[in-house]
Amino acid sequence: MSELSYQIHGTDLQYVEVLMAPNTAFIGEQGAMMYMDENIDVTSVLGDGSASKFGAIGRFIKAIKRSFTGESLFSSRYQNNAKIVQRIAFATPGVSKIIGIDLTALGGELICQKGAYLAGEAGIEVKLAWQKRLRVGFFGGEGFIMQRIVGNGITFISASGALKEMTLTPGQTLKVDSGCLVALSPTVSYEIKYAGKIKTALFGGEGLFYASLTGPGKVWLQSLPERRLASNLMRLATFGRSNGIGGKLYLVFIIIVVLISIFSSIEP
Amino acid sequence: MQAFKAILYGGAAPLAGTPVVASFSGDNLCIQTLDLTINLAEVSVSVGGFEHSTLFINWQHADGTAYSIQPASAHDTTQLLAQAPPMLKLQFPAWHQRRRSIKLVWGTLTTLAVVVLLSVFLIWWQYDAVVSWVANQVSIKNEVALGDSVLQQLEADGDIIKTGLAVNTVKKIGTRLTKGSKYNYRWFIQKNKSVNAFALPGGIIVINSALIEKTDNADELAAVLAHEVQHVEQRHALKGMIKSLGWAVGLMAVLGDVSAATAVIAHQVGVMYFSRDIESEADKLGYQALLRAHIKPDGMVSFFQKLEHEQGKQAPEWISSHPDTANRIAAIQTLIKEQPCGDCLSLTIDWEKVKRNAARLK
Repeated sequence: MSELSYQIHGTDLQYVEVLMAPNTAFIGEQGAMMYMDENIDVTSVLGDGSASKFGAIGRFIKAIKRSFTGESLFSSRYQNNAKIVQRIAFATPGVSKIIGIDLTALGGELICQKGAYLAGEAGIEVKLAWQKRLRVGFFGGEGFIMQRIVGNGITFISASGALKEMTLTPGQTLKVDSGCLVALSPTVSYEIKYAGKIKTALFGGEGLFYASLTGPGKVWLQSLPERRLASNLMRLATFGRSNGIGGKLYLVFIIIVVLISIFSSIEP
Repeated sequence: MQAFKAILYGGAAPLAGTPVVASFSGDNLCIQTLDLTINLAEVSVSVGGFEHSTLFINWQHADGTAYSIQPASAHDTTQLLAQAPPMLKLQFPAWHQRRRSIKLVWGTLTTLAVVVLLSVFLIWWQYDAVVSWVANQVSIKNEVALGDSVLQQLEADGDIIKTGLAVNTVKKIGTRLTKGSKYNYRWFIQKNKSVNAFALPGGIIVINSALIEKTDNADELAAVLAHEVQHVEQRHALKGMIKSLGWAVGLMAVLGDVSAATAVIAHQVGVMYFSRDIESEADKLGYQALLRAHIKPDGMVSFFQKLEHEQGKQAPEWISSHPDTANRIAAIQTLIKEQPCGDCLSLTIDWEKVKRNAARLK
């Protein structure tokens, strides 16, 4: 199954074109399809279309759980019923890049940030991965819910900014700014460490915590988390400049006002 | 020594790891599949993986390449834990502690959630009992203060009469009805054209002058008083306030909206409406009070009947806030049949004089 042929097009805003062999199927997020050849049949399926041993109710519950991971309740199943290879393309919903990940090579499991899943070969399931450590859930930048993509074959995930894939050897640790983590293999330890310096936290713009990733396993990082992009755009739209000293001056102003009020109240 | 299955990472092993069979011999860890022997002095145990529950045994080869193994399944983990030489076991507490702390945190959170849900359900299920309990925690002193604050507002309007023949008559009948009560009752007449009477928390009974004019004899007024007194005795106003306060707090918790909650309280205070159950309770207990005071209870029926006839034209306020007059009359008539009062007598008061006095108040 892993010999799937695909090509990623575009530089910063990308789409992926997949060549589907006869009698194969692909599952895509709703609205992700960009174009396809005429012989591909599209059907809407609940969740990722996978079966459940609890029947229809089980499938529904699976779909609900899947929808908590930032995906929609239904997804589209693209089936190539023709005897020839057919093309289909999926585009990202934001300013994002696409990477194709071979789940088989990873041992059949991958943990992703919420909403990262774009499309995958039929049989790949998106499940809910629950972060069990409170501090990682609160300060890790990914929240308590992540995606667990399980199955065999190629899956496409999207993330904003430039993407970096890194392999960590056993015990090798990488410090990552929270929010920059896109995906990790389940053997990687994902911890939160306190930066330890209030000064760095307040003026360094790095935050009080950083994520610490320890191997063995693979991690994928994004250069520009959507939240950071959004806040930059917001600031640009509101104040007309992207990185002003207004905020810090305001802080100094507040401190001066507080000091003045304290001293003026002490004097008779 | 029994072998256990594990997955080896690092070095030339593929990304997903290589399945190996390992065992301990003496102070060494043997990876049987690869013919590797590692001295346990060189290994370190760590906790990792996305679930924070995987036990990793890590070591480095002489050339600096890092390796680690993890047990292949839960069964293999138990075997590894059981068979590890004492030297390695020294490194296990961190793993145990991590698992325990995760269990403890989520166990506590789940328990808290269940307790909160259960208590919400219990309160909702036994709401009346809870309200009564809360009402009983309020001292009579506070209740009196509450009633006084409302009375002050009424007095500010200048329509409250505290002296005169009518007030004294009301007081006389009322005192007879409330003999032995823990409340210190105060009786007032309000100059008002609507046929109404109401009770304030803490033992304040206010009768509108128009209601007195409507009555044909002292028994009818006694019936109204007996009914209103029960609202005080049963702390109905207080309970109603606590009840709506509870709903408001609940609404606030669910909607996170303070203004909606305030609206509920304001509504409750504004209408002072008692539910059908509470009114029939007051009727029933009022009837008992009439019996205890040896006052002929027929006034209750006749007064209700009179008001019911008028309901068609323009419903008197005292009735319009009290639903189902016909049913209430029937219930009282049943009471008269079931619990007749042999030695009850009509009140002997010059009623026309009292009515004239009340009429002059307008």
